[in-house]
Amino acid sequence: MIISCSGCQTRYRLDDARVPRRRIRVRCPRCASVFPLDGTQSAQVAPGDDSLVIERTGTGVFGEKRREATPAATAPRTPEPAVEQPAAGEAAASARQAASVGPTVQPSPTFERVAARPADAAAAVIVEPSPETGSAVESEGRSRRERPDKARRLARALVSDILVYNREARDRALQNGNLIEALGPEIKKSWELYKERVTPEVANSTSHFRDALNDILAEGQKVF
Amino acid sequence: MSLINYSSREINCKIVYYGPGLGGKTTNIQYVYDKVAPETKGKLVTLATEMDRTLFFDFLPLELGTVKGFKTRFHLYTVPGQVYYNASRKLILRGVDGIVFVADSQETRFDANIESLYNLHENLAEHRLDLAKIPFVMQYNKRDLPDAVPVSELDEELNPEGYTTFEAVAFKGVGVFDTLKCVAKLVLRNLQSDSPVTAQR
Repeated sequence: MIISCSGCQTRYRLDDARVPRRRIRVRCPRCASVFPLDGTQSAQVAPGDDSLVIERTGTGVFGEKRREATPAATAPRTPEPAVEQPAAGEAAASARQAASVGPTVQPSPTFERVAARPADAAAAVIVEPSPETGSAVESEGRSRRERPDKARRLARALVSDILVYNREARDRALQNGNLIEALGPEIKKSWELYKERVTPEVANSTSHFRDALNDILAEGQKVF
Repeated sequence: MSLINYSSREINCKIVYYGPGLGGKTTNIQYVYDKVAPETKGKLVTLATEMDRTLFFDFLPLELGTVKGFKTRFHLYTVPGQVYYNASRKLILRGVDGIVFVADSQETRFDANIESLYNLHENLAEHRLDLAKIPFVMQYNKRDLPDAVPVSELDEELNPEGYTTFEAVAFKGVGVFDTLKCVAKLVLRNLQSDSPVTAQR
């Protein structure tokens, strides 16, 4: 299966056998975005060449407690055979190499995975760092992600508000190909609030809002 | 903060239903209103838009028996869930005694749930309140929908503290009274264990 990160558009190849047959959430090791993946569907994007980590979710609402509560998440697991398998300790280097295909984003891979059910752990992770590398990268990634995650979550919440409060109008507009015109005022209102909340600098320097529009309102199409 | 009226021997408590927009907060108290006996309930006040969406709040006074000779009167409030209406939410939280967080189980509302929960923490902090010290119950609503996120995932993301949770299908009444009973019990227990609350003679 080939999937594309909704945050940085990096494409990843996933072994179908490793993807649970249900809706899951996937974290991109390059930009740390978490995006939904419908495991019941098959591949839909052009070929790519990176590897990635699937995880249930990112950090919990109440900080990091949850991660500590799932020790299975950090336990060593069998690497994915279909994907290039980095040796222990080389995982970060491998991810840097993977990230070099992108234009500007600094590589800061997150190899942690938080599993809802320990039994799923082996089935979901593709790239496997050594336990030491994993934990070091994890704490680095955590602080780095704190702010962007907040902005991204707000963007997605605002856009999903637009969707649920205007579902019929959205469905019609999606069919007629006039999503921007039909929901323009709603989008503008949400964008203004988003800018106010995350600061215009963060709003303009990241693509969270646009990504949320494409992902949620346009159902994955690049409309915005 | 609970108001105890000694002359009329009444305890008044405020319970707020919080959560993302269209998650089922109004549906919860509408169901309660429809089912309870007329003599125990007051008038349901709803300030909604033309599309039946909560604009400011819903309000339902409800009598739930007596405690040590005092009538307990619960005032149920909902907040507007849309991210946009935060000023109203903040205002409605003032003097809250118990909170029900109505989470929308649908995958598309996953981020909205998290955002709303963060927002609850922020707004409580502005009132110098801490969720850990307020009776709190979590309700996972819309469990009947096909794209409902598994409870384990909702627990993981929304409830690492392990608050009491209820699965609900609010429009059918599933889980509605269980949730209300639980939060009311917690509020009364809190009242008994607390130092004297605001007294009104």
